[in-house]
Amino acid sequence: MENYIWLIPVLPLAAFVITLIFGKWWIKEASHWLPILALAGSFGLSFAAFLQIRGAEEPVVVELWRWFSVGSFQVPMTLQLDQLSAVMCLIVSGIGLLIFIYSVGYMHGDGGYYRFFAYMSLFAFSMLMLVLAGNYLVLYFGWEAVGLCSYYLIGFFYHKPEAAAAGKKAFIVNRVGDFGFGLGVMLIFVTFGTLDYSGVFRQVGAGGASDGVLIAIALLLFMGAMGKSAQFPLHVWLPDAMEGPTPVSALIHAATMVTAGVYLVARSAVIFASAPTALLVVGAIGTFTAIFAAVIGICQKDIKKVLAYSTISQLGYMFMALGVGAWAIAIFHLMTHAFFKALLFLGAGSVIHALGGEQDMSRMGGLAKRIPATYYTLVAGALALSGIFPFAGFWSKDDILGSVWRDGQYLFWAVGLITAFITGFYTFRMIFLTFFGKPRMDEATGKHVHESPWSMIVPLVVLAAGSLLAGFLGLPGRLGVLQGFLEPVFAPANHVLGIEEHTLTAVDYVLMVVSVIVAALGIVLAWFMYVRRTDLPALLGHRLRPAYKVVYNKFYVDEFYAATVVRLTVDGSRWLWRNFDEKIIDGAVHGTAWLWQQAGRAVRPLQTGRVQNYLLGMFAGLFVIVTVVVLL
Amino acid sequence: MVNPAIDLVIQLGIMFAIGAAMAMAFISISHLLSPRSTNPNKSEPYECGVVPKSDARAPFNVHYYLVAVLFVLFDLEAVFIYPWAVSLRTLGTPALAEMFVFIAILLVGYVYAWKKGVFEWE
Amino acid sequence: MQWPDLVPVIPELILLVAACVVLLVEPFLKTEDGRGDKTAVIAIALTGLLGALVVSLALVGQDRESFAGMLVLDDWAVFFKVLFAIGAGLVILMSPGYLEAHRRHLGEFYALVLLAVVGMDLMAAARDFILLYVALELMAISSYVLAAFFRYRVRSNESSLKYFLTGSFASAIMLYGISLVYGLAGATGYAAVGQALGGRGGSAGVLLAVFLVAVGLGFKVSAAPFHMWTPDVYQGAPTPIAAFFSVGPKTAAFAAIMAAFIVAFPGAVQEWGVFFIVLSIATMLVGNLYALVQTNVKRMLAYSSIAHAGYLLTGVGAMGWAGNSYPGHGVMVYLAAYTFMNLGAFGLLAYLKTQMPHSFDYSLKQMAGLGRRSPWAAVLLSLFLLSLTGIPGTAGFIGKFYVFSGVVWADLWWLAVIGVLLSVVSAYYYLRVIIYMFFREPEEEYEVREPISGGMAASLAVSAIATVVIGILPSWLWDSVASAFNALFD
Repeated sequence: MENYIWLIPVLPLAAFVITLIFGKWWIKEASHWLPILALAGSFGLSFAAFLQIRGAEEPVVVELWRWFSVGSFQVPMTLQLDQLSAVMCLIVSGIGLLIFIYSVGYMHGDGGYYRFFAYMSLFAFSMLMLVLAGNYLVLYFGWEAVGLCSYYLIGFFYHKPEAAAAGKKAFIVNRVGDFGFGLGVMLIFVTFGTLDYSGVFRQVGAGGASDGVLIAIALLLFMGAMGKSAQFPLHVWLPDAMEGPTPVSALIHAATMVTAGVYLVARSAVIFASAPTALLVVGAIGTFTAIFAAVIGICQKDIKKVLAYSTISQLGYMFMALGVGAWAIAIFHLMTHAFFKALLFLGAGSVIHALGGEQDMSRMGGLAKRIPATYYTLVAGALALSGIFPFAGFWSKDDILGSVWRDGQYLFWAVGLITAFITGFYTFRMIFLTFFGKPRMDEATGKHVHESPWSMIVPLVVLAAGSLLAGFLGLPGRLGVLQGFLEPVFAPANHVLGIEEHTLTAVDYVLMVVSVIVAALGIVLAWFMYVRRTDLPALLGHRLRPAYKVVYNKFYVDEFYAATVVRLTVDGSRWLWRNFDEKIIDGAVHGTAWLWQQAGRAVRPLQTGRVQNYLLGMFAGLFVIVTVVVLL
Repeated sequence: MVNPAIDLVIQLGIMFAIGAAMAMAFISISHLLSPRSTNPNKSEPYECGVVPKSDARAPFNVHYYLVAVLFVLFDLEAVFIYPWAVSLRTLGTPALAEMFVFIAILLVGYVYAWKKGVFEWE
Repeated sequence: MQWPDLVPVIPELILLVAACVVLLVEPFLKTEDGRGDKTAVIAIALTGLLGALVVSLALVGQDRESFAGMLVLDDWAVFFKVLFAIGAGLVILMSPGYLEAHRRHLGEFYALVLLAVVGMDLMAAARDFILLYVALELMAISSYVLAAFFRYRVRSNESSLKYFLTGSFASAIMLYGISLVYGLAGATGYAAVGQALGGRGGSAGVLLAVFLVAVGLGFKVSAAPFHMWTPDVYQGAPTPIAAFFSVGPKTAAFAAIMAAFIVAFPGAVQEWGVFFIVLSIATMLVGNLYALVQTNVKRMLAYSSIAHAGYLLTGVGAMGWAGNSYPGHGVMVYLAAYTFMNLGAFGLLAYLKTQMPHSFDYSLKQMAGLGRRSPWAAVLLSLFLLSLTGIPGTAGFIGKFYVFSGVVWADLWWLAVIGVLLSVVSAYYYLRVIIYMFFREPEEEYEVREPISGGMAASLAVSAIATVVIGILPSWLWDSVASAFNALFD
């Protein structure tokens, strides 16, 4: 196994390099083959690794090379394969593969076809590096690299100013989180003298650091996770990131990259388990984000924005689970979410494709008969997202609510339950607005509605099957295959928290039934409002105008930032620029530069070009240096 | 023992002093001791014979230089052969082989110069 | 007399034979005024270098001496032989197009390069001052001729003459130092000198001898104040040759300094350590200061090579200051990194000149718009310049990192601070070129002559790949450096 792990990330990297160099002139329209084959190879290898790591007690650590070694300061490039990274690899390469295939149809005819596949391959490489990292430095490398790819791909249509602005926004907001993450990594190194997972976790387990330091490390790491996984208050970039091509939204901003924060916390489970305060913060932020984003999702008009807020909300669920120490269940939800959210995005992409680029739901409607394949698969995804038995979302979300209940965090549980209701509502609001009722698009568009090509439909069907079946991997209690598989990874953290396996009781069954009923109520309400009494939404919107406005404007978070942080930064920077920068810094910089230039000019005459002077200089120099050295 | 630093300065000083003194001494001695006459004929290139009409720095054919340089080179190489010949008996076969290598390298240069036309005069 | 052990000099013998064959073949290729098919000559020269490279690599791990201990074969010598063979190979690959464009494509060029490599190899392998001197002269004389290769051009002549005059001056000073060493120690072998002088520490005569030898070698690495020839010579010499000068003799001289000084002058380590530290500060200052005000990229690179010599000298100074060979590890890593990035940068200038033999004058303003004109060239040059600046991920960063960490190791943190600060200054003139290439509009349209030749492309590609690979995977380089130092100092 040690022999081929490195190939898992390197195959997409090779595809990236070759496609980038030769794509423009040679490969052109065939640019998709190499990335797809490479990722398929990664998927195959991930599967082989998955089979081999089953039941292993210890992770497999492969040191590829030593980047630096000076005395005790060593920076090895290590990859680590354990059950957690194996699962992540399968998700990334498997979902990624489907999305790559989908992109063949979706991106067909785009001028930057080769560029798209090159960047997507680079993303696959970075993400696989991130999950396979054997120490925090390699993790940080992958972390920054996926951020960079995300930035490139959001701004893929760089001629659109919104896309460029969204890319910039994502980059800046992520910087805030990454700043914390970077500090956290440094603090880990300072505290433990190593960055290797195994070394760090062993020392944490042995009580190698004080509580305060552990809390600081955990919170700093979580700050990075908040940025990448779009948790309140750093969630603002994700909805804007929908400016990127839809496959990008599906792969990066739903299925994989945004879950990196969840992965980071799960990976550092021992640290978080040893810092209960930090764990509570994780749970609280996650819970709040879950309901906050779900409420915003109710009022969005753009189909992709609905899904974006839904992603933020679902990530909140995952952090809620992490917050009560249900690590494996968070990863389980991460996996099922990857299936159904990728499906929803790709389905939405198929709808947008059919309507020639229309994203506004108020100009859709009545599409169920026109694009049936998209319709059925999308409904499967919506059922999974709402958490209806027996779809994948049901199992994972109920596992989360169940473990929150067991942990005694009833407030989290109640909020989670309400969120489940809202989720059912906004999800089916989207379905009903899109596929039911009368067509609301203009005639020209309406005539051209067409089902998408096979390369787009096949991934949808596969993902729909996954959304239906993936849940059975994580049945609750002792039945959970995935939980058992991940057990060796999380055993130390569970040991710290004193969590033990539980058997299913009547309470669990009641909880399940309750949450399904609540979600179903949400769906029924959506049906009532958007199919039965289509006049209701407008009426309600009118009656509850202030509330509606607040939600529609996403609680004015962006405006708040614009008025405070951005304003302050801009004004403050301008002030600093005027007073401090121009006068002092610029003065200093220009002064320094000027000084150097002047010094350079001043000594210039010494370089006369006359050999006699050169020889004289040599001799005088020798004399002076000898005198200096000898006399000192 | 004196401080090495000062020691060096003193030694250096003495060396420079002697060097400068020597140079100045030779110039002044020849200046003082040489016989002098103020006859204007003294400044002619030749006190007897034909007065030159053109500049002494007339351009020579570049071949002169090439041949001269080659002559000096091969002449100097020959100098190496004398000590070798004297001590060949004690040095034995390795030295014999080495001299053949030496001459072979010289021959490379010879062939090169020949083919490059150094010895052609027209 | 015993048959000498020739195994340690097999690479040099191969190069020598190749040079002789080149000289024998060249006159038989019927050519007029520097035109004609030189493929045969180039092939012979490259074969010779390849042979030397392969044999050197096959000799890794050996430990033997020859010619009565005057030279040795160990991992130290092999490291430099490999480096020189690769460097000279890259220079030869980038030369034909350039020489062709200037109508001075003569086979002697390749023979002279090979002979200079023989000299550099022997400098690294020498363990005796006499052999060191002879090897240095072999390298130097070949260099003088190479500098004058475009003998119809005033600048080339000026370059050669200045190099010759200052070089022979420096050689004379060094020879004087060696004669003093011999007078004091009664020996010329490094180890023997070290034994004889070991107890006599920093006595005045020893110091004078040491400093005079140091000046001779300091001239070759173009340390200030013995650097003044450098810009004139590099600017006047043909660009591939300037590339060769900037890496070959410099590396050879560093090899000789590191091999000779610790072993031969152990009693005066502090003093020559301080000597090189003073030299390094002056060199870094001068190199960076002058480079700042240059508007000619080739001349800027010449000054930048002085600055790099300064960074390298900090490591050498730290060796002496600590009386330990450890800081030298970084110097050796830097030398390897520097070879590739500097050859790449100069090679790219040679390529641009080949493209526009008449109009291109290496000035900064002609670099404007290169990013659009030939994006590959601009990207590669940016890579080399970023590496010279020392941006992480490139070979230059690794080199600086190891040199300065060695300097800090020797408790000379203030020296490392000066070095880092001055390399920040250097970013100004390196990045300025990049800014011109990508963000300035060209003042006139430049006519591009022909596509890149295979040899030039190969040379640049190898340099670029090596620059990146050393930047990402430096550990193998570090390991081979460590084994070289073990061979030398156990």
